Amino acid sequence: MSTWRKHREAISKLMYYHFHRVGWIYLLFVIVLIALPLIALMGQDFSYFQRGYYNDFLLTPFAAMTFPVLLILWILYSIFDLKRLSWKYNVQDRELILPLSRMDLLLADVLFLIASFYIFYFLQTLVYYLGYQIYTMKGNGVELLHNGFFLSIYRTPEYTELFLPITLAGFIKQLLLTMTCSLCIVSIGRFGFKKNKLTTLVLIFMILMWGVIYFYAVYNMQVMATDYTKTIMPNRFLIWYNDYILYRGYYRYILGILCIWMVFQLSRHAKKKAW
Amino acid sequence: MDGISALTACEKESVVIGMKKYAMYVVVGCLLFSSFISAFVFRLGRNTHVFLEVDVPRNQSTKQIKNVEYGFRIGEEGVYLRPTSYQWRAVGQGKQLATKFIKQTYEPTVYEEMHPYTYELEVLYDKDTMPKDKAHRKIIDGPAHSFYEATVSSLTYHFKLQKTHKEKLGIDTTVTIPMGKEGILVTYLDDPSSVTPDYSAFAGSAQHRLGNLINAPSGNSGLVSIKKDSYIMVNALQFKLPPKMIQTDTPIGGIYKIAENGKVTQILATDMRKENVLALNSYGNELLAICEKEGKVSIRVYTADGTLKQETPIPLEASSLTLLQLQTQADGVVVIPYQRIEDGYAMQFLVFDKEKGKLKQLDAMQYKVDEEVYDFLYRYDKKDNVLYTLLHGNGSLYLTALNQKGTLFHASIYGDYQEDQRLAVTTKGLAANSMYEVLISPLLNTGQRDISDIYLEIVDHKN
Repeated sequence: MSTWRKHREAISKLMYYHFHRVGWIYLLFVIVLIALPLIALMGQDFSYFQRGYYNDFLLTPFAAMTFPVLLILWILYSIFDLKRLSWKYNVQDRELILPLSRMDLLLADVLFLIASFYIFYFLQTLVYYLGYQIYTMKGNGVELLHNGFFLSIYRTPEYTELFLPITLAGFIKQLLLTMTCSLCIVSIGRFGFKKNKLTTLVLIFMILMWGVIYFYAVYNMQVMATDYTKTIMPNRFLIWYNDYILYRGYYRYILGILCIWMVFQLSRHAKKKAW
Repeated sequence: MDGISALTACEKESVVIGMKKYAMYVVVGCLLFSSFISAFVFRLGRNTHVFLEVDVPRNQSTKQIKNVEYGFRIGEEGVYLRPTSYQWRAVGQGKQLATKFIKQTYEPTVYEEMHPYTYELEVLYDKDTMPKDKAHRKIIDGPAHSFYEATVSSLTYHFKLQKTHKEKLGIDTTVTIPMGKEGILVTYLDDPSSVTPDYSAFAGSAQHRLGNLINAPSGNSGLVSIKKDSYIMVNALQFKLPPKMIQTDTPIGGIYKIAENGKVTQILATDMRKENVLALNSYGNELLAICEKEGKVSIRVYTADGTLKQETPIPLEASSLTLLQLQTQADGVVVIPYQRIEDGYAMQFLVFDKEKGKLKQLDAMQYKVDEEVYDFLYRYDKKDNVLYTLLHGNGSLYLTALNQKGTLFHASIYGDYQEDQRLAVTTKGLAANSMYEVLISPLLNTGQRDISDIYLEIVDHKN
């Protein structure tokens, strides 16, 4: 048997067992992801809406927030699932006797998580499209825009890029975020926070900075609506971070380096005699 | 176990074996599928929709409209403009209108190509008369704005004319104009460059002879070109003050010539208290100007060095005009659109043509408009005696053919860009109803579309 085939079959088998283990929970996530936004949209009153602008998806909290909240819950559950294996079944010791490369064990987890995230993205795209169909059905008598589905994506790119990027830059961003999340889950789930201090710190810092800048933008929008003489962002570091890291997309390099660092750390752990 | 259930179990087993062997490829499939959907939606983005709807009169023949070609650019505007922005060129001839996707991200507008100069006349901030203390700070509610306010006894205007790209200085001078005993109220922000005098006391025909024209759009901003030289006009309307108030040591009003090498000369000097150039345009190798002298309006032809060649009076009173423009066509036809205060939004057109070397009135017509017009283009076809107009008002375009008897054809042009102007980014915070809407507002409507570079031409009659 060739080496590639051996590895492929080992990884595929492990992915299958992973699916077998978390399949029902994943199905529950999928049902909530599809049902909750659509039920919320069906109950929404669209009589006041501006013609053809599918902003009501974002303006309905249950419709818009289900996807990001479920993603975060899935990340947390996946970390818990890997932790549970070691807490309950002491899986590291059992894996020592398996006739498998340890890197295959880690890769199988990472690849399964990447696939699970991409299935979420596809389902969310489907939900967004079905929501648009509900929107058009309920907007009886109102003339809709010719290319309304695309325009809704185009007018809210910061949200829709999470699941349906329409540019190469957006696609790379989505792939990088997915890889970072998957590698992070496996690193932390298998080896804990203590052995991934740098990764955890960098990620917490990036999430915090994004949060601060986002809430500052919200606050600023409110202030500017009432007093346009106020300065936009007083802190120089925030201005620099917003301009270079977020707007110009240098966060991609940071995420890329972080991914390489996590792969390096995982391979280092895999070479050790004991996990 | 019967045959069917044995077969089902066998199939199930083979699926499991397949998954066990090839589940790894699911990741590759997911990535490919995701990129396929992205590409598909990206392709959807290239479609934009414009269509022409004939409003009135339905029973009229649309024969004339076949000779007219028009178009505009649909582009993406907004704060978060991306390098991958879409652009379309909409081109129509007669009732046929179609859009074409353009790959370029930016096209210089026609105005920038024609006029490489910037002409500014701004009110300067003065530290001594415009203090920034609490006593002068003013806050007005709903929508609330805060600024400083003071009454000043004089205003200093900065009169600047320079090349846009090469920054070669032409004129750079200041003019101080006294505001009389009562002075004028000015508002100013923390940024010293934005001083806004309250000219409202001077608007309206009761105040002075140009009072109604003060807020009228000028059409070509007073910058015109003949060969490689450029010309600008300076008049009392640009100062937004009653003509009588503009008393300067040297007469700065009139027409200026900017030679190709950047040298500026004043070829026509007028005392703005008595005489003003209200509109200027090129006419072959000559200059065509609409002037007013003590309220009487006339059309004048000047040579390129400023010598008066012909003056024809127009039966209009400057005090009743709310809009006045001047357009020349390549075939020698001159169109003067104007609005009078007594007619409301209705537009009047005077058409002149050259006959034996002299300008002579050819036609006059009226066009009833229901709404305020932002931008408009017009072309006169002297073979059919029909005037074509393309009006831009409130996001919509209107294509019209007129003659002396009335409207021959009227159509509205609709498109996907129309409502976008209402989705203003800065006012989103105000419209939010709940905390959730406030939090989500930075994500809403960050991409918008708008139209620009509108054109209208008459094509060959034979086609």
